[in-house]
Amino acid sequence: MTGGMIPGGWNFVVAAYSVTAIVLAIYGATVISRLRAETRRNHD
Amino acid sequence: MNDNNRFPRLPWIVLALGIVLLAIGSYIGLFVAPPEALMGQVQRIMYVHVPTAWNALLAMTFAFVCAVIFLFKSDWKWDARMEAAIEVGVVLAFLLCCQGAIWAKPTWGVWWDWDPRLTTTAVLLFAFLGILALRKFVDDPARRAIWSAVATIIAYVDVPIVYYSVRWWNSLHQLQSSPATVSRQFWLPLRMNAFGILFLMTAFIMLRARVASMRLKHELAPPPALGGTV
Repeated sequence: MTGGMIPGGWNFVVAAYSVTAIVLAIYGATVISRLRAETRRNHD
Repeated sequence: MNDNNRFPRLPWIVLALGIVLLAIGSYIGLFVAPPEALMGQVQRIMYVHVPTAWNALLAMTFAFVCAVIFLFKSDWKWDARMEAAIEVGVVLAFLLCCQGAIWAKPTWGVWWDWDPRLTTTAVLLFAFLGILALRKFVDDPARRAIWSAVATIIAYVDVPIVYYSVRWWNSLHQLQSSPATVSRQFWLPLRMNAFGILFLMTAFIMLRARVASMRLKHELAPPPALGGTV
């Protein structure tokens, strides 16, 4: 008996936080790389 | 057009602040806050899911504001800001759908359901994704800016529908919480992550707007004079 509480669930928690970190990190990296490329192009 | 370069270090400071807040908020949410009485450990997903939802809608609201201002003032910096806000809003809306699916499986027993909140959020994601696609396919900067500003205003109609969908229709999704209905132990990580993602979103929009501004500068520059004589 779990008293109505959903048992376990840590794997879903880890998955949600990992997806959040990965998506934000990848997007941040693409923005920074595009910014560097445009800055280089502006200086050329 | 490059007025957001007046403070070149500001986006990096905001970005660092966002990372720190999100890291501390997530630590508290994962290891300090107690499990919720019914959802148990799964409720910890709320500390990233709810702030992502708030900030996705905020990014799209900013895109809407930029679209309106661009149509009135025809100032290119608002077009660059609109492009940035739409892109960041799409990333957050995509993340929101992923987090929601991961939360839905253990609580509802399914990854996805055509529930009003989920359906209107998916419509929002694809509508703004379509605007980004539109911007890719239109070469003329003036047409691209006007068409995407109008499309943004039309797509924005879905934002209040997403927000009120849980009140207007029978929905599996729970109603919005308020500080009065959330225990203090829960709202501390929730608020820290909300400000963490807000700062990250702001920094991404500022940096992405710089990229769009620099591209626009190239596109709007007069073509180089031809050499030689006729």
